[in-house]
This record gives sequence, structure tokens and C-alpha cells, in this order.
Amino acid sequence: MRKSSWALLCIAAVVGGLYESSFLGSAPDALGYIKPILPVCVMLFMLNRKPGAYIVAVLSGVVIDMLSPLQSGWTMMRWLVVLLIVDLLSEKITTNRSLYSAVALALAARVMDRIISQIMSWVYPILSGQTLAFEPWHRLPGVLISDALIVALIFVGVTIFTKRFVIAVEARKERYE
Amino acid sequence: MNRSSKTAFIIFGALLALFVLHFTGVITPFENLLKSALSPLGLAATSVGTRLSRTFSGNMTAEQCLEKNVDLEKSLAGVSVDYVRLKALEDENEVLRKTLGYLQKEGYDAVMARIISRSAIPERSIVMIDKGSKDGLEIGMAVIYGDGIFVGKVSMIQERTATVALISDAQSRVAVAKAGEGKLMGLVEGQGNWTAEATLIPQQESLNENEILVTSGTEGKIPANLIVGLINKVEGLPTDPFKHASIEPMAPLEYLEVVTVLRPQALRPGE
Repeated sequence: MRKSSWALLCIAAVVGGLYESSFLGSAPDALGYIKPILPVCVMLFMLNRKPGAYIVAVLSGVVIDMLSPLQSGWTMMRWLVVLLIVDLLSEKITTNRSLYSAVALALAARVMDRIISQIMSWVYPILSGQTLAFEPWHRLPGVLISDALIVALIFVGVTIFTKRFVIAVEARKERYE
Repeated sequence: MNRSSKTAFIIFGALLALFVLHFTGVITPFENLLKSALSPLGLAATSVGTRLSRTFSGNMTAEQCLEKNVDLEKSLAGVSVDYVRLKALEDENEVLRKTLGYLQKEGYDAVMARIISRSAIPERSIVMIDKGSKDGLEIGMAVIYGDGIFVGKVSMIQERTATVALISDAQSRVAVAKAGEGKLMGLVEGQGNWTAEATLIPQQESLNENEILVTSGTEGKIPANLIVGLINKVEGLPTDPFKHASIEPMAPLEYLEVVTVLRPQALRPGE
């Protein structure tokens, strides 16, 4: 990646962090389901930009942790762990680069994030004596739908404007012979 | 060791180090610095979100408008009668305050603070403000809006920022009294979604709709007679030991942008 692309990515990560920390708390409730950072990180994985995905997770996570009025949920830590698992899944299970695998990875990432949050809400009070509050489970389906839509939009956008996901082999019978 | 394992190893190592440094307080100054650096950005994002929220909340259906209008007319009728009575009391109180030097005696002064961010979880009405221990704030201090409308209390404090649990927060509890009586009557507990409820009100207490509840003054850092809310509906069977009532907060909790923290004079920095 070029230096300018890195700079843009960092700015986007900070803006994304501000969106999910300060903006969403004040904005209309319906917008609370749209959380783009994790799906974007997954798409960066799909585009083979792993360092970029980690940078976005770290920068956005730090902004969210710093500006969260609730006890910090260790967002940065959670997202890094989630991305490590996504990395593993993308190498071992969803090895192709299709829209379905992108959506599956994004949904898996969100569910894992929520599970880690839940585990932390049990463990954190034992370690620090303070409680952690997380988004209730009943909002998860809405967030998953929005994640799937975000990933699909980015995937389609990338396919239209670049040759990244275009299949180069002509689809005809006996093409490998 | 392959590349993925190496990345995982580095990340876990860094996270563990961060965890230890956070809990030992080594990186606290750095965190404070980062928080104050991000405050203006958070403020801008919150402000945009609040405006957007206000714009969308204005779009009510005709039925909702009608319902709201009926409610408001009902409230106005009750409040108008109270207003005349309270106006007379206020004038009298003004004279008494001046005479007794109430403010000097209580020693409260105020710090204006702006809201940097809000909790995105509907059940938790918690906001972060851009003033902290450096400005003389302490946990438990009263936070008000406008002319003495109590909106919450400081729940957590950092050097340059603090978090405020609003009266509608699910973990918020405030001792209240009926306006003008000054006698502890019950608690106002937050219910999430910007609503609150008065609880533990003894059955023998008379309580009517549109009555105003104020802080009782029994909590150390919260002065008495700050308006908490208006009683909407009183509930509870005559056989219950306590009754409860839904409260309408007098301040627009979801749209707060600037608040005031009341602090005892003794806590002013540099004095």
C-alpha cells in the first residue's frame, strides 16, 4: 500500500471510531445497528490487506475505548482477537474469495466479538471489581443484517470498480484440459 | 514458526502488556492525554448526532401530536395553578435566601461542562463530560441542566474527563422529596430509555399527578431542592407497603449538550 493509502486508512479508522463511540450514542436509535468497522476489517482481510485490517482495528478500538462513557469494553483487544480468529478461518475454512465467504466471515466476526464481550462481562468484575455493560443480545440480529449488507455493498463495489474478485478463467466445460 | 503464528504471538504479547500496564496505572497519564486530545472530535461527533436525532424526533404523526397535545394541556392546567403558588413562594424564598446568605452557607459553585459522548446502549444513560478531577470534580457531585434541573450525578472520574450517570440510567438512584416539603419521600430509579421511576414511597404519602419531585438533600454532595421530574402516573395497590410512580424528567436527557456540575466551594482548585 502507498503512504497516502495508509494515511487515508488511518483517518478513516479514527472517523469510524468517532462514529461508533460519540456519534452513535447521540444519533437516532435506528442508526445504532450500523457498525461498519468490523465488516470493513473483514473486507480488508478478503482484499489481502491484513496489516491494514489490524491498523483499523487498533485505531478505531483506541478511539472507542477512550471516548466510551461506560467502563471501557477493551474494544481494541476484542477486535484484534476477533481478527486473529478471522485470519485463521479465512485460511482454513472459507478459503475462496466469494461474496458468501465474505458475508460468512463478517457474521462470524460479529458473533465472536459478542461472545468475547459476554465472557469479559463475567471475568472483568472479578479482576477489577467494576461491571462492564455491553449491547444487549436482542440487538444482535439487526447488527448482523446490517453487517451482511455492508459487506455485500463493499464486495459489489470492489467487483465493479476493480478486477479484484473477477474470475479470470472462462466458465466453460472442460476448461482445465 | 509460520507468519500467522508469529502475528498472533506478537498481538497477544502486546495485549497482555497493555492489560498489565492499564491495571498498574502506568499508562494512565498517556490515556488522559489521549482522551483530552480526542475530546474536541468526540464533542463534534456528539453534536452532529444530537442534531440529527432532534431532526428525526420532530417527525411525529398527527395522532402522536394530538396525544402529546392532550397530555401537555393536562400538565399545563396543573402547572399553571402551581406556578402562581410557587411564584409567591419563590419571591419569599429569594428574600430569605438573601437574608440568610444561603449560597455562602452551602458553598456550592458550578462548573460548566460539555458532553463528549453518550452510551450507545439504550438501557444505560451515561454520558462523558469534558471536565474532570483537575477542575475539582468528585464522584457523587450533582449535575444540573439550565436553572437547577437535576439530571444526574458524577459516577466516574478521570483527570480531564468524567462520566455522569443520568437519572434515567438503570443503575442510578437519587433520594427525592416533594417540592416544598423537604422531607425524604423515596428514591428515583432509572429505567433506561430516558425514563425514570419513583420507588419506595410509603403508602401513607399522598402523591398526585403533575407534582414536582426535588432532591431531598440527604446525599452529601447533592443539594436539596433541585428539580428531578414531574409525576406522570402513580401506581401500586393499597395493600402494598410502598407505591411507585413514573417520572417525566424535566430536562431533555437525550439531547443534553451542556451541563453544570455543582461542587462544594471547598473543592475549588487553588483555594
